[in-house]
Amino acid sequence: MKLLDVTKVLSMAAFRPDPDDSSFTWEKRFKKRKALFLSIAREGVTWKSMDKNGLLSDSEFVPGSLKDILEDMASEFFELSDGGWCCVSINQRYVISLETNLMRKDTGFDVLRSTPRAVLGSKAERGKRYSLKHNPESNSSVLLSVDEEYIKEVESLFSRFGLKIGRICCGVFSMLSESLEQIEKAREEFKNNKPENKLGNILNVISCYGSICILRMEEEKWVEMRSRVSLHKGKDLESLKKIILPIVEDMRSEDQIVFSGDESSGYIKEILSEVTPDMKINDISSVNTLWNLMSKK
Amino acid sequence: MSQREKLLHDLKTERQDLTKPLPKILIIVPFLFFISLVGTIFLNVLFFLKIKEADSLSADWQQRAESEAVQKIQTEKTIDLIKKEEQKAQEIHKWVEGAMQIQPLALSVSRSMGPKSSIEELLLYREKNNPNQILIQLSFVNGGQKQLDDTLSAINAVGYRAYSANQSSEQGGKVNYQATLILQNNDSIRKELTVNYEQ
Repeated sequence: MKLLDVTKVLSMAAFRPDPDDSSFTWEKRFKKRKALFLSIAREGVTWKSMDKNGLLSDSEFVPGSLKDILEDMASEFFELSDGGWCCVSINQRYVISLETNLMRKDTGFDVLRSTPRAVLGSKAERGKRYSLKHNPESNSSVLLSVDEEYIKEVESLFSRFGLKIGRICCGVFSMLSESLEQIEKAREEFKNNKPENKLGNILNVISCYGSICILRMEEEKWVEMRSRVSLHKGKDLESLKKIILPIVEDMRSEDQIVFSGDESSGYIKEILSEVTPDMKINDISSVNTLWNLMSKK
Repeated sequence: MSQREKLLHDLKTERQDLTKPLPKILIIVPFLFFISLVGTIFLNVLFFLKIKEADSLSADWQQRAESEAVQKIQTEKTIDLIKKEEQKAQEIHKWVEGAMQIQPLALSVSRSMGPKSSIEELLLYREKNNPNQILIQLSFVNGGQKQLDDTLSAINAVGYRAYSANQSSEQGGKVNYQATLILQNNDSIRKELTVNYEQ
């Protein structure tokens, strides 16, 4: 037994999960500890810090590349977290796609990470890291794939500046997963009330720091998905409309839109109101939608 | 919904030496350690204080023992002195007891002396083997035969009879008388002693 092991037992650290143990929620890993949350996009980095009481600070944004920002602000980032631990959300170099007939055994994250081919079959590619969100009512799944090279690049950059990464996630995918869980829950509650009318189709729109993901649902089925990155801050509204318009063409006025976005996504909601004036928009977003997910789950 | 599904996905490179946290029940181990540590410190402090107290008491008792020893020596000396005094007193007591029968005799002899006569020497000697017989040697000046008769009468009055008497006179009116006195009647001695005590 090493002295370090004894020290860990006596300091009770051995009874807490490691800060980078992904099999525990962030809340459990960083109980009474400061942590930093960063959302990395092509245009810049947005971050929030969490104090020892679990309270999130105001978000701050610095434009520029990750490398330049870390060079300037690594020491500040280090001070904002205990031991330099960060949770990173990436909003570029990923692909979210709608897949069908993927293996659904209780494989979990570990198998998907170690041997993605066992889960994804021929759809698995070398040099990619994956995550999945299955539709419990149909055979469709939302698949996130990220360049492994990019993840390693982010890890190496953080490591170079003395920062440690406790988690790397994709913000849009996280918000989409959360939104789908809420819709699923709401649908179950709606069914339990035995309504006379049907719930109708749902268009799930997710916006996260310049990235957008739209999933069209017909009843319980996920039928169409569109995902784009770097449509930041409403500067490229035409591109955005080009993505939204084809997908809402087939929707009826009784259908609903479920919108979840970050604090700067108000303009997307305006566009949605503009292109679908008859449809009800359910805005489930809050100021800290992404940050709450990162700091709690 | 399982516990895994509630977790946010993680794409980072997983560390190989990641260990799961120890079961919560084992938290008793460090707690017991800290409790025993606190107990050890407490007992050490307690023992340290008790040892100091014992040392202080020991020094105190040692001092007291030393003073008691000195006092004992002094007391022993006093006891020795008292024993010696007692021995002397016992000797005197023995002498007084032993001389009790002679006292009335000596008293009657000294009382029988007239105003002009004076005793130069009076020896009353009693043998161990024959305590009833007392050897008397008396030398006195002035008074002559009359005084000697008075003295012998006084000796007779306390119950003694003189035998083997030997008398001589010297120049200057000195008379030497020597005889063996035998006790005839104890009552007269007792009476004489009682009278002396009452006086």
